Amino acid sequence: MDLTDLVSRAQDGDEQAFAALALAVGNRLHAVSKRILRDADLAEDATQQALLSIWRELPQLRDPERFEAWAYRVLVRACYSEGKRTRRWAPNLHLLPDAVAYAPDAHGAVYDRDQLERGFRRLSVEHRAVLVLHYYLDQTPDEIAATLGIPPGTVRSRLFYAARTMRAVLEADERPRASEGVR
Amino acid sequence: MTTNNDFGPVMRSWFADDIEVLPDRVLDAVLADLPVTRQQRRRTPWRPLARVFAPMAFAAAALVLVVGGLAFLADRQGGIGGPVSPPPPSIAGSPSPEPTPAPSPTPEPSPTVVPGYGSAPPDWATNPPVVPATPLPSPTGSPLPDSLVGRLYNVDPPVESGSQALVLTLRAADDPQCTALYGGASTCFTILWSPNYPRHAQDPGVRGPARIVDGRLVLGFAIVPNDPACEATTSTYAVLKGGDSLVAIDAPACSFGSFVAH
Repeated sequence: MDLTDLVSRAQDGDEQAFAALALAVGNRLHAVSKRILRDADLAEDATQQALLSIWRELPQLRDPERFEAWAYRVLVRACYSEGKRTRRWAPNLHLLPDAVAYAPDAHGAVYDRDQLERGFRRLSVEHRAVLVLHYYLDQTPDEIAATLGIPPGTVRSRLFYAARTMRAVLEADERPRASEGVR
Repeated sequence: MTTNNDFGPVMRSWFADDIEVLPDRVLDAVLADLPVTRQQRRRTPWRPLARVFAPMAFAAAALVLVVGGLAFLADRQGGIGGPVSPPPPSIAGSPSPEPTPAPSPTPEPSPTVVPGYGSAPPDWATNPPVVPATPLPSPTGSPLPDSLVGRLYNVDPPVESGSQALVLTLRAADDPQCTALYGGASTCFTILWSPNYPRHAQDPGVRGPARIVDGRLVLGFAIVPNDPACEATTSTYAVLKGGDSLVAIDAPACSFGSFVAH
């Protein structure tokens, strides 16, 4: 049975079909929430909240073929909601360990996870979401706009701002290293 | 220097690094919630067949209206006065009058869980007491009065996640949660996700003494597993409206600005 069939059956209240559907898309949704929120517990909560919202709102999805894009919209909404709670009792952040050498760029510079984490955490959840949809799910700005239900211009603006902020953090980290002759 | 051209590969490489697997407990929690999570009604698509059946549907609707109207009139003539509101949620520990016989058969309890009410079915899991690794210092002040013991509060504004919400419970000294903390020597509080089924990712929540100091409610954050930096801090609340509202009078770094009773 393909995803569309599962969606149709779940729309009619079939819990077993929804269980199969959740199993099929759960890992992908969780991967996105983890990348947006950068926190294991918050990402689990967001994914759980999103899956329940998907179940609740599924009958209103007109085109089952559009399920996956729609599910991402519900997930990002859940991430926004979880992101607002991070200031309360949420310092149990599971920062990725070790400053592992990372992703050489065109000039041979090597960034580590800490640098990327630091830059990414400076961004709002809204800005993180567009980066993840663009660079992880490979969605175009127009596709992101459709997924999130916002104007394409807003997506481009958020992408620009997010990239600029990340770049500023990475460059600020590079300066002292360059002066020490690391590069 | 990072340029426009190399930013993309860096991000793609970083995002592609980890493989994520949704933990079974999350999926289990979602599936456990399905029976109590009502699906929103589907918008009926317009179908050609609807045209065929439309006259029959209108006739059926008219019949229902007529029968319903007659039943309503019959009820009114029978002397039933106004809608019957459901009883308020009971509050453990508070004095309650003897139950009066119901004038009509009691309806079946609704399976719907009201977020924030902590009204989980009896067979649902509850948070076990947490025993501190080392004895806690004796809290200052006096125990909670009976009027506050057993009361449940929502964080105001509510903090919810799915069908769960953060709930403050003020507990008696002999409550198992307080006994675990102070051996029955002090009233205490918990702030937990509720209903807690099967378990919320951020539990166990906050626990500590709940005491009255200078006429104010003082919550001591003795055990905060997810944020040890908050441990040993306190928050002081004015008790307003006969205990229905708790409003912070200091700046709670680790707590909430106010709570409202269930």
